[in-house]
Amino acid sequence: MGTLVTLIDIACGRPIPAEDAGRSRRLQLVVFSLLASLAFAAAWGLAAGSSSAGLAVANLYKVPMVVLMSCAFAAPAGLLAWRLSGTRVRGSDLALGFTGGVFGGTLVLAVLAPLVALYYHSSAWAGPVLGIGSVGLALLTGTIMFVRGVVRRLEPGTQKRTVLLPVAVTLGMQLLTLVRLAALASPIFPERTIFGGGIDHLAQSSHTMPAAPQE
Amino acid sequence: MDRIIVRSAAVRILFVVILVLVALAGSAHAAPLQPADARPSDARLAGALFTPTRTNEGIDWSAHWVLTPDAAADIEGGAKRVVRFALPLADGESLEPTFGVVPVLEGGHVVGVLVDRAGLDSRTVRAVVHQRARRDGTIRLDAPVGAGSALQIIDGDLGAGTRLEVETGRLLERGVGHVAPPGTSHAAREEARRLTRYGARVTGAPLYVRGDDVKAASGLSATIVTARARGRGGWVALGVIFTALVGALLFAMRKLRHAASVERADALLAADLDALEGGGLPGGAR
Repeated sequence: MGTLVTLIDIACGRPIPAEDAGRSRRLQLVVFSLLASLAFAAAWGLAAGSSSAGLAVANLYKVPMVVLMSCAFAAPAGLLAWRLSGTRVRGSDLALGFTGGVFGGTLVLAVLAPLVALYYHSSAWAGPVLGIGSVGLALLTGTIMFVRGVVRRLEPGTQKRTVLLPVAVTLGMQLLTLVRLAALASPIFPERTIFGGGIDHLAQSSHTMPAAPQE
Repeated sequence: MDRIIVRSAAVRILFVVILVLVALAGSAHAAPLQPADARPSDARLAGALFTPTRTNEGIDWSAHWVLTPDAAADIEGGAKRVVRFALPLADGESLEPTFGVVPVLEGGHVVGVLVDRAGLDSRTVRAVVHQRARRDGTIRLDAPVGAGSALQIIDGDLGAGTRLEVETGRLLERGVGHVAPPGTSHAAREEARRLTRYGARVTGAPLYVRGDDVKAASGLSATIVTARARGRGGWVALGVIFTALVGALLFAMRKLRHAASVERADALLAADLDALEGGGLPGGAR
């Protein structure tokens, strides 16, 4: 429980206590936050698929898989950007900020899971809207927590914009992988959503041009 | 007298040969049951769009052939023209006649459609071709493709992520968001889309073909692939990686537990010692 509280504190941008600043303890917090995120994501997956037993059970591993794999695919790009940018932020701080953001985002999902489940059982349109809305809120929360967590742990005298490149690369990679993984794992919701078709469907929706008149 | 008989025999043989040639030529043109000069000529195509709809039996192709302006003007002027297919419809394929658009039969197969003024909408001729899927699940893609060199579009999108995946071979090459004959320029594809009012898509589903190429290749074949089938391989790989990652995280958690608790205890002890040296009480209390 103490570790969970420490993680929430770190995710909220509070300074890391001196007793938790060691290398092994930081790494432990990174691993713990990822494992906790999987549990939170599973809880939300269960709620989102609760209208059908098969879907709910499938979501127990699908949603955590989407979250963890998107982190695994985004991390190398973020680390490379961190190295190339030459920013003076510690690698463990960047990792802790990233996993703290994922932790915070999935925590939002878990907190909203009962609401999503409740509305999926009682409303035809509010359930899906809440489901997709909770994902959007989680992404926003995770992004804010990641950026704030990294910026607040910058060494004194370091310009904030130098850390934006690794943060932006990590976020961009994670978003792109999330969209594709969500399509691969589809269906997560009982309904067909815009994310079910992946990037092709999203691009088709946004790029379909009005027909030019035939001459 | 002998010369006259010989000459006469030679003339007779010549007449017989001419008669046979005329008869052969006549039989070759006998299928349309019309004199050669009365046969409607072929209409030239500017483009075409074929949109599939999945049915229980196979695919229904909604065909839109766009004629060249002069062909359309001829038909508007009262002439009849044939929109000829690159290849005749095969067994199990049929064309649904509509007002002003009737199938043209040659050798028992539909080789095109005969269009009159009633079947023309601006420059567009419309018809529906029914096609049965083969036993192996493949589909002929050349069924309603018009003859000629005009670039035509076959939409391979069957909805819900299901697509027709064409076997490209030497005839076609896969581009970003489309499949087209090698060397097809962006402008040519853009023109084909403009003519047929086909929305620009990036799904990889549109297939650009020319009737001449289809004829040279003796047809195209495609398979119906669902989104689930396409992602199956990746899904299995992801499952394996996911399991391995979770295992690695749990292992790391176990390994780090001891080291982290020692680190934490050391840090707390150091803090307490600092507090004692500073005259305070352990634990930071003063």
